[in-house]
Amino acid sequence: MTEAAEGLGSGHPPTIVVENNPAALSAALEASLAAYTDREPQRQIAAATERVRKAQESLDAAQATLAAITAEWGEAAQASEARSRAEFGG
Amino acid sequence: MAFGTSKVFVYLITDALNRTSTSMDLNTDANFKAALYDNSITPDANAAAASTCYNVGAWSAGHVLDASGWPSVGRPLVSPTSTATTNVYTFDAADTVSANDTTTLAANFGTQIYDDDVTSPADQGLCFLNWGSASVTSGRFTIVWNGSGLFTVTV
Repeated sequence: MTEAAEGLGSGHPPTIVVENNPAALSAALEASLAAYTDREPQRQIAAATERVRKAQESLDAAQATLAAITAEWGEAAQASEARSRAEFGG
Repeated sequence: MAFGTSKVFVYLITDALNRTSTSMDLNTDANFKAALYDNSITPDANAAAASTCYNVGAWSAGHVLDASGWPSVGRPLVSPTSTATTNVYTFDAADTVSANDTTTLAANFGTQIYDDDVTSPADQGLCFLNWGSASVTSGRFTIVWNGSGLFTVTV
């Protein structure tokens, strides 16, 4: 014969969920999103403008180099022509 | 002194079996409430029925409240159920949520569940449940009842 099981009344501890300032949090998120939405196109335009400026600087530098080479070659051609005339009486 | 634990008032069982309490009916009463308390109180599960009531005995102090979000008298239990499965009786309810999203509650450690429909003794307690410490500032406060229910009685 087994002993009757002992009765048991139990209160069960719940858990708590706290959502602090949900309205304030929502407002902050909306403000952040709005600020991002406002700033992002400007940021992209500024970045693109900076890339164009750097490309222009590179182009200017390349053109300067080309001009210098062209001038150097011109001077060399003139000197060569002058030497030819002197040598061959052209 | 501390809230400290989760228990069923023994007089909930005694009065139900003895039909002492004038009108407590866990199956049909519709005004069970969850009142919040700080850690200054020492609940007594063995207290006489009159001392398990809301705002009486150990429950007369230590109230934690927000006038509109979670008043001193507590928030109502929504969809309470009183059922038995095999050898386990369970009293359960939907999670209890503050009345608004701007509730501010100082540190609270537990709740007293009582029946606002009972008139003698008025607002008799069913149980008290402890969760450690929680607070909220201008937010939403939710008691997520244990998956096993608010309380069970196993025979």
